Amino acid sequence: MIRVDPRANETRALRQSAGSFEGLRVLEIGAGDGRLTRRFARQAAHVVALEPDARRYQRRKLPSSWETHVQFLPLSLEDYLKNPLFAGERFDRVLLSWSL
Amino acid sequence: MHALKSIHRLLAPGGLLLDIHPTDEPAGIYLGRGRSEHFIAWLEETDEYEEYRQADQAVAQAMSEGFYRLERRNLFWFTIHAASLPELELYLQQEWKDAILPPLAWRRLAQIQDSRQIPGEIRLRERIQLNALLPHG
Repeated sequence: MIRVDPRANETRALRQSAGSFEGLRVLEIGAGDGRLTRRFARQAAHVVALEPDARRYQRRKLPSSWETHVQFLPLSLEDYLKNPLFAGERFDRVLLSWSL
Repeated sequence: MHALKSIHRLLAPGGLLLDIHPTDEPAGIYLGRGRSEHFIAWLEETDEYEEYRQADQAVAQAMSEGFYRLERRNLFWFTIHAASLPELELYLQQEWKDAILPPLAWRRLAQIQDSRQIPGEIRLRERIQLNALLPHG
């Protein structure tokens, strides 16, 4: 069985660099199946998670109770920016998640 | 660089950009059991980790052009643990299409296991950087 970052080094580094996500609006670019999203979304006030790869998007796994405050979208950053629905959105944290 | 400029406009006052990407240090494959590890081989990539150097350049350019300043850089090890080399290979085919498991890895693993009779798991270890970037202006 594959285990990804079992020592949670990524989560620790995120906490050291960004502190708490409590009450924040967060944009995650390249969210994949939500692996990193699950680490911080519980605390955040609102999360927009973008994943343009259809295969990874289909594999997203987030608790259904989070659907009220986590928006997982099958979009690239470019498509998100072009969409008038999201015009004017601002975020306290933007996560470029292995996507640059 | 274009993405970094776009993100700048998305940040609220006091906001922070967190860029997570691998360094261009090759990922290492190890046979591990508990704290003990034996190096097997370096993972190869079709573009020899060039995309990560380009990511570094994009961040450097965004800072030099005044869009961000570096608040903090954090380096950490990110590991994938697999029960076997075939399992790791399958995982890489799905998740890391540019990755190449070199033939040397298979030979080396067989040598270690034959000579030392070591059971263990396969670990792939990457050096990752997390850049916390504060927007200017």
